[in-house]
Amino acid sequence: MASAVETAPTPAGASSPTLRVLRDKLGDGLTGVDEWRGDLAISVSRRAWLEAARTLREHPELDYKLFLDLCGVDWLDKDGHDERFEVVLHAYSVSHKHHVRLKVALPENDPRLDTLSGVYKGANWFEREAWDLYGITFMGHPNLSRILTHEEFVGHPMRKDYETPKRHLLKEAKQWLLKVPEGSEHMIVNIGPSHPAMHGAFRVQVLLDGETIQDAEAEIGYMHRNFEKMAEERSYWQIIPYTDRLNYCSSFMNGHGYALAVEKLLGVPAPPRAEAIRVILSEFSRIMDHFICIGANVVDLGAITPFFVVFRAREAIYDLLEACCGARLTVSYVRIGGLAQDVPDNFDALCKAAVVSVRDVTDQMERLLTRNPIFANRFREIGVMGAEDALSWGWAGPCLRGSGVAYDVRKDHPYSGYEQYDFDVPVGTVGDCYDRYLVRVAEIHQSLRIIEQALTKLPKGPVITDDKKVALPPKSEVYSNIEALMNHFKLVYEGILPPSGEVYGYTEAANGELGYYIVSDGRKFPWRMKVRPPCFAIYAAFSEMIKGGMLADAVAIIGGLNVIAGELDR
Amino acid sequence: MPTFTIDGKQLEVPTGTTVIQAALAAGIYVPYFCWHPDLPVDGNCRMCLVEIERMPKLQIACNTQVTDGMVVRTNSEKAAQARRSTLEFLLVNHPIDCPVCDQAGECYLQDQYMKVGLHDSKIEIEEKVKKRKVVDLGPIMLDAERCVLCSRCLRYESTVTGTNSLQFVNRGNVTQIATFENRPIEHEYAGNLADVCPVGALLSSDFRFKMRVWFLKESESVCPGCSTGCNIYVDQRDDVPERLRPRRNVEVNKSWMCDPGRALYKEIAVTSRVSGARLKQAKGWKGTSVAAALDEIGSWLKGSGNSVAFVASPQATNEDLFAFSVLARSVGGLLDFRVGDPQLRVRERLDQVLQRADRNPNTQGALDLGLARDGVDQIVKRCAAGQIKALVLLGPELLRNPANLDALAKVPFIAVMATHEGPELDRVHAILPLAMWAEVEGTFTNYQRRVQRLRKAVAAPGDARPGWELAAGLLQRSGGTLAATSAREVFARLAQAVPDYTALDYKLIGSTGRALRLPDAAAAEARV
Amino acid sequence: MHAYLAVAGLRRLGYHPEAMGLLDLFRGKFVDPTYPSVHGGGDIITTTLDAVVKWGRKSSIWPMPFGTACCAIEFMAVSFSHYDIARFGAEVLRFSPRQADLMFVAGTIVDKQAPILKTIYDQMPEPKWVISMGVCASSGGFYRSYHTMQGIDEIIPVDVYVPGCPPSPEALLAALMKIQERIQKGEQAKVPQGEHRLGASGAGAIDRRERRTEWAEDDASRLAAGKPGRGLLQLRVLPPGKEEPTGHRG
Repeated sequence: MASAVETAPTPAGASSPTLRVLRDKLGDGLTGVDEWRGDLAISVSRRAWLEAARTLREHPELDYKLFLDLCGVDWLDKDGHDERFEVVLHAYSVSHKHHVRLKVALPENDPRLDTLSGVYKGANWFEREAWDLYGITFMGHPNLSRILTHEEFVGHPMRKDYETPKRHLLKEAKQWLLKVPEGSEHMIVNIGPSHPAMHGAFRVQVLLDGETIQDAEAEIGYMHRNFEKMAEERSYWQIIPYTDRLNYCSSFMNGHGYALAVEKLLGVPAPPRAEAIRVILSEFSRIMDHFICIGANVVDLGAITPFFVVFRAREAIYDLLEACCGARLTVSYVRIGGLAQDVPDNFDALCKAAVVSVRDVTDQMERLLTRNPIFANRFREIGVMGAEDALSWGWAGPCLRGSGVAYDVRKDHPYSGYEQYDFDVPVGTVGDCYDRYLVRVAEIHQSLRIIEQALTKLPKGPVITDDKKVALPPKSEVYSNIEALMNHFKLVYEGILPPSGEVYGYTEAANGELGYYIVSDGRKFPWRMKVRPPCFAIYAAFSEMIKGGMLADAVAIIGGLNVIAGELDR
Repeated sequence: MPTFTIDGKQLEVPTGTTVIQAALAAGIYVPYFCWHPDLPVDGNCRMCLVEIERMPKLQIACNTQVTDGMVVRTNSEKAAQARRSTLEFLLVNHPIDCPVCDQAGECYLQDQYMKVGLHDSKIEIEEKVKKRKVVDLGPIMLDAERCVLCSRCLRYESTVTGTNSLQFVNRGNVTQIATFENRPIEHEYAGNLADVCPVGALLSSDFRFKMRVWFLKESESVCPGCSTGCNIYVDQRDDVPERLRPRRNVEVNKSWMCDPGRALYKEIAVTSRVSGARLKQAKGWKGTSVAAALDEIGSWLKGSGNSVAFVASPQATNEDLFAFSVLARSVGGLLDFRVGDPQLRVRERLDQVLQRADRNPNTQGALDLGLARDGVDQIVKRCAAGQIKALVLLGPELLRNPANLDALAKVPFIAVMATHEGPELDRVHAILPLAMWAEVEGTFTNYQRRVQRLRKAVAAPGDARPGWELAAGLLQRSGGTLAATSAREVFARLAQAVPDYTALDYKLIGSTGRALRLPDAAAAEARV
Repeated sequence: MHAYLAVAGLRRLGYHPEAMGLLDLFRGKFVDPTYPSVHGGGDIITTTLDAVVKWGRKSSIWPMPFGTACCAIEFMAVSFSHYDIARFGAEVLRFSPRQADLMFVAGTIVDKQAPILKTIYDQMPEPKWVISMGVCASSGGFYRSYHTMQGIDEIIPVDVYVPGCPPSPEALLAALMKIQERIQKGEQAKVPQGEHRLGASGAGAIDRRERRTEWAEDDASRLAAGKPGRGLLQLRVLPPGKEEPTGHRG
């Protein structure tokens, strides 16, 4: 399978520099190493946790600068796990092109751990999430409070002994996130969550001195609809519709990434035709996503015309998706091991029509915006993010590339046959809102290049694997012979049974590296399904970015970050 | 004790062990249809073929005894290919029935297709041989097309029940099983036929089309139908029990249970359950909380001094009986449980298979706990003489005998813990809702003095709760205490108090129970 | 009070009252031109003030999109040129509840969002209508879990529920037309229809004990009427040797 990790230069086992450096540094603190499906996982003791993370980031030979993900896992009553909790860190080394997973086990009666917020800036929110959902305490954390659930919530819902449907009512929303300092004449302004610029789902409070933002605090969780908890009670197929609703502006890409992650877990590749179709539809989804981002961004600034323009092309892409799978937005078109069905006969024509439409509206949009002095003045030098900080926050995708780091999973760890296509990775120079806009526009053009190449190369053949333990048999067979019928029955009520183990599958989604950390215990449901949501890390930096700027700039910045609530809060 | 190698594992097994037994005991998967642990070996389905070194052909694991130095490979390419072909053969005439077949979900054909088959079909639907479908055999529905001719049902009928109702008829690819002139199966062990059938050929008429089995959750339990105490599973969905199934226990019931026992789940989720406490008032019944009813009964117990009596039931668990007897001792007064003298029939057989004449699951337990004390006749006599001021019943058996009515009418206050509504409950003054056997944790002691565990399968309706909890409530109101908050803890108290049970706890009892020593006379009786 | 309102210039708009009778725009039907209240020939029609106010209201809805999730994206599609919500006079989207009379709740509402939704709803001036767009807003959808409201009608009244995940734009436009009908008829939901489903059982939406009782009652009534009970579906037994006419067996 064209999985990202397997094609990557993998420093395996003992020869891995990561392992060697950590072993030298930690000694006994390093408690275990596991390498499975190309993922390097290192277990350390609780005492060595902070040291290990710092070494990963700062040792020149390792250079795991990009913070990816930090999450909890609950191993309640599971054989082979002496301690109940586990905290898992994922990080990436841009210079060595390598992922690493760092794990630490924590006892049930004392789940405490040193905070990594001093090592990676992005760890702050991820640790708050792990505290909120698992009750893991991070010592030295600046603000360990609920982040996804509301403040009147009781318990830690992702724990295995928490009943899924048990709700707690919030009677009144939290009024103040900030305090006016004693004796100052500053003013607090609350923006959102029901504010057009906050897209209905995030909230930020700013402390204003005139129009200058002195302090800011962001609040999220207004769309926390529990994807990860639901995934623990759904079979691997049943999760596909949920993935569509993560980043719903480009739902196909979420399913694509999810399918690749499960295929990596199973060791079952999808056939080449399915991969090529996945690439085409993923690139169209990326274009849709960038359109929404740019369109919504300028609407927030008061210009509604570009939004009207870009939606014309979105409708052309909707027509294409509808012809393929019957749905416009939430497509559920991927399956583990391929696609639900083959594309229609006029797929080529529909794609070409969509390409023409996209090109047309992109040109119009650029004429309206790129050199428009009003637009440029509101975007240039606003929300500047340096490369080092961006990595530490865990930024990825267009935002990271806007800050000048040329990390693109499609290029660095090609999956689904991206290595066959010729395309460039645009990067910014300043790291401001305007750079992020330019990167997005350039990526639309690159996506069109990829689509056109993939269309000419589109291979013939099946669109789903022939592995009977993974793919449903065709309906014509199911209705006419007992073998296929039994196969269908068993797969539907027993589900796909993967081997025990854990993988981190990752793809380049519209907002950056979308990762699925899947822990399987061999049953039909995943034991743990953690999404690394790219915009969670991006939005975490927002309140820091706007400090010292003008209030009006905050609105320009948030639109350019493309924070999607479904992915942010899951 | 031959030592042999199977899939690279060295095993030592008792002489006479077959390869399939050794493999299954070692956790190695060998597929089979016709082999059954409690039936004689027939060796006709050919699914369990394995490769044995120095044997020219593949051998069936079910009928090959392990010899010293044997080397067995269960998953070699040759064996896998042979099994795949066997399965393909078995499926040649199999109808496309899974959507309308109750067996789907627990069908050996489906399981083995996913494990060893995964082949494509070579047979057109028109080419399949058609046989009789939907043949009503009373408690069993026969579908001859689904049959794989494994003869498990035939062997069951000949060796377990001795009835021989089923036979093969015809030859070649039109062979099928049938009863003579399609007569219904008339013995009381027909339900087991649906269980032994590895496919959907024999299905239970009772369970048919009621529930797809993958929705069901099973809990281990013990049948409350008679003093045999067959091990069973309670299969439920959303707290509604859908069927009972035998659970293998070689010491008690092997893999079988009787049809009257299978029907007992029907009493659980009915509308006539007592779901709340109530008290009789001048103008009829008044519903109340359990606590308020307990208060009322407690005040009667306090006000009656020694002139109280307690009658328990052998339907109750050991935990309930123990708490009840502690209550009786603490309050003082008369205590017994032998309504209708079940203790005389504990070990009396009703037939040659499983059923016993004592239709109570726990008579032996009640005897062990010392509840046979003052005699039911004595209690009734004292009631008739007006010497009993308050009577507490665990179960309404005493009320059902019309001969007792005159005597009971003289008792000013009768309280009963009951599971079901019934006309007899009109004669009492307070009713407490009692949870049934499938709704509680607990233990029964069967005729062999084997203590076996029940596990909670479904939620009790409304306010109903286990008998020990109600007894503990009364105990608390009359000044005593049970010092237990769960059935497990009640059993621990029980083990401290009852000599023979001293060594037991729930963990030790486990899923197959723990036998206590029988008195010699009883042991002789049990052997008969 | 009934006031008469005369509208001039119908002929210029292309109506021909002589030929067709008079069109009562506000009732949406033709009226008899000889009706005593019709004055001065064909160009004037009459109606009540109430009807004309409702007509104006339904034709110039100012919606407030309360968009939180996927449905909001589909709502954008409806409001833009391809589906063009302006055809229904509802294109003036207001992000302030105080200027709106119809709320589109588009997307999942979670418990953290619930008090905000309630506040926003309360801030809308009367009369007001609510469309619950998509299954999440209507019932929680497939998110039956610890932080998801199982339908916004737990806290606010809903006039029209639109199924779909997300609903197609056509379905949403149909819902808008339903709202227009309701405005015309003077109908409006006043109280939350759902009860608080806090801690609702996740095992299944329907209590099967209740359902089983219903089945038993249904069977009894069928048996009393001489029909077979639904539980006792009579299966046909094939006579031996005869082919099924359809060739489909089992």
